[in-house]
Amino acid sequence: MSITTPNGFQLDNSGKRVVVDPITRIEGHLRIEVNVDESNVIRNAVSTGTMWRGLEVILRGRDPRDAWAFVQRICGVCTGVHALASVRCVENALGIEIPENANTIRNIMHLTLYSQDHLVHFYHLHALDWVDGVSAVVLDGHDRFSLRDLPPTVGEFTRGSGGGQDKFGVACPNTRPRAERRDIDGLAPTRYRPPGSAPSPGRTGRSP
Amino acid sequence: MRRPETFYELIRRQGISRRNFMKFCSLTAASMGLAPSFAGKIAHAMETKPRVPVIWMHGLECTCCTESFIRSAHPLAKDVILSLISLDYDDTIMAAAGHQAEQCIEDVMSEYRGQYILACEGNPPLANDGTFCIPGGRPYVERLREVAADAAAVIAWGSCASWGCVQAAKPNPTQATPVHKVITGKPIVKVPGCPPIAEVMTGVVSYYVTFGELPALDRQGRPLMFYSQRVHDKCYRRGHFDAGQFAETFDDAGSRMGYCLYKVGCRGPTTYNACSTTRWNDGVSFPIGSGHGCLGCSEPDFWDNGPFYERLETFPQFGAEATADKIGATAAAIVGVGIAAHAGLTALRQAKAKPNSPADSEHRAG
Repeated sequence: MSITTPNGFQLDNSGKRVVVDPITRIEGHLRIEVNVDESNVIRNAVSTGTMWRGLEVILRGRDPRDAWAFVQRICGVCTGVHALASVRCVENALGIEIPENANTIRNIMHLTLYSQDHLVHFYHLHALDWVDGVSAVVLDGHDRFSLRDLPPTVGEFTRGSGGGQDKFGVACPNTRPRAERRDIDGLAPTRYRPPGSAPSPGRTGRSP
Repeated sequence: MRRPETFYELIRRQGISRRNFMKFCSLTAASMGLAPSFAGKIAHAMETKPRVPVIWMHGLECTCCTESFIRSAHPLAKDVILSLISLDYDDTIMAAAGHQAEQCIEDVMSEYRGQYILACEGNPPLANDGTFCIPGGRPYVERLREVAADAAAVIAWGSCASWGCVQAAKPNPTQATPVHKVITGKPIVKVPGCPPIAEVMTGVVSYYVTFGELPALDRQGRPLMFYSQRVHDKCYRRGHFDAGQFAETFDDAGSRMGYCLYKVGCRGPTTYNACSTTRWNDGVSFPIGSGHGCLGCSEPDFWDNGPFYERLETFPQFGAEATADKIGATAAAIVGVGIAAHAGLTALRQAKAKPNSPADSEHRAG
């Protein structure tokens, strides 16, 4: 049996069908399935978002000055960029030109978010996909391993390591990622800064 | 059943000294607003009580609650996640995916039946039989009910789980529904905010672990220790409000002087949250500190209570469309008069106490 999705993807049972759902790195809101043939080659791959909130529908008829806050909620990990994109859209639609200084401030906010996002993403969200937790725990002298024993944050990986490597041998930019990251968070135009520091149409978030 | 390690056993195994352990207890007590004597109680609980297993589920959400949580400074999220609780399932920061992840939930549910905490981030959509959120191929609402059935308590993280938040804003296309309307017969604590303050989140968890029960809640189910005051009450710009000094637009002199942001839409006067005291990022700042009004993100239906940059005219209790009808107009008038009178009276009182104060002339100049 074979099904074609509305956007043209093919779902079927050909070859060996592997489904990973939920993808936990997307908070469970992603499903990936592939069909693998006899020579272990992926012949078909489909990814499916498993959540829909309808922000586009909700935005209709709203005050355009508020749009950035709604779309910022598209993602709580990369918040600021959605707000900034929204603000630029509104300004573009209404023909608003912002001063050069405002643009510079926005760029600084954006790049700060970029840096903090890298740290969060690498240490909290993605490291577990790249570090072989099972082997690492064996290395660390544990004789038994269960998922419960795996430190769920990288803060733990790096705690107590004195130099440029954590205990898994992964190079660390510093040995106190949390403190450093928090300092960066303080500058970042994300919701953790918090919401107010996002720019809104025609201005930047902060008084000059 | 295997006895889970206590917090104390675990940190000693990690090589942390007793002195540091006691320091942690004092800081935790302070962060929860408890008297210093409670540090001893916290220490006792952590020496004797097993870590609490937690299942953290994600419905319609944006993960901002998790992101906020991992930024907690007192106590560090690391200490909470690794030591206070046993975070057995959290989609975002767990290693497993797919079947492995689902197996984790099953394991905790059977091994710790009736003992684990269900932490909900986001809410279930009920429209179209719940198919707007189908992690693992099943409607989220089904999974939520199953896991809640054997939970000791439920924590509703953020405005999504507490009130509905952005996806429940009009017209709420997916019929997103707050957790307390789906799960009944369980103790539920709401920790609203979009996202909630990190220290508030870890504070609630620490309290439960320490005392084995949820903290005292207000009528709406929020912990009193963090949500009993309005942002306005402890705002550092409150003095300007009382003196009648307001920013009229975002680029005027009043704005540059750091005057009250009420007239450019600040929701501080109707928002119950700890932002003005606890602040964010280890106490660095909060929205008003960045020169932007409070959006009221911890209040029900705040999305439909806009526009955000218009002066607050109505209270959420009267419904989002209150200004459009007669009741709303009356309510708005009363509220408007009330707030104006409040501002006027305090200004008058100050003017009487200090005639021709520099603050007054400054305002006129601005």
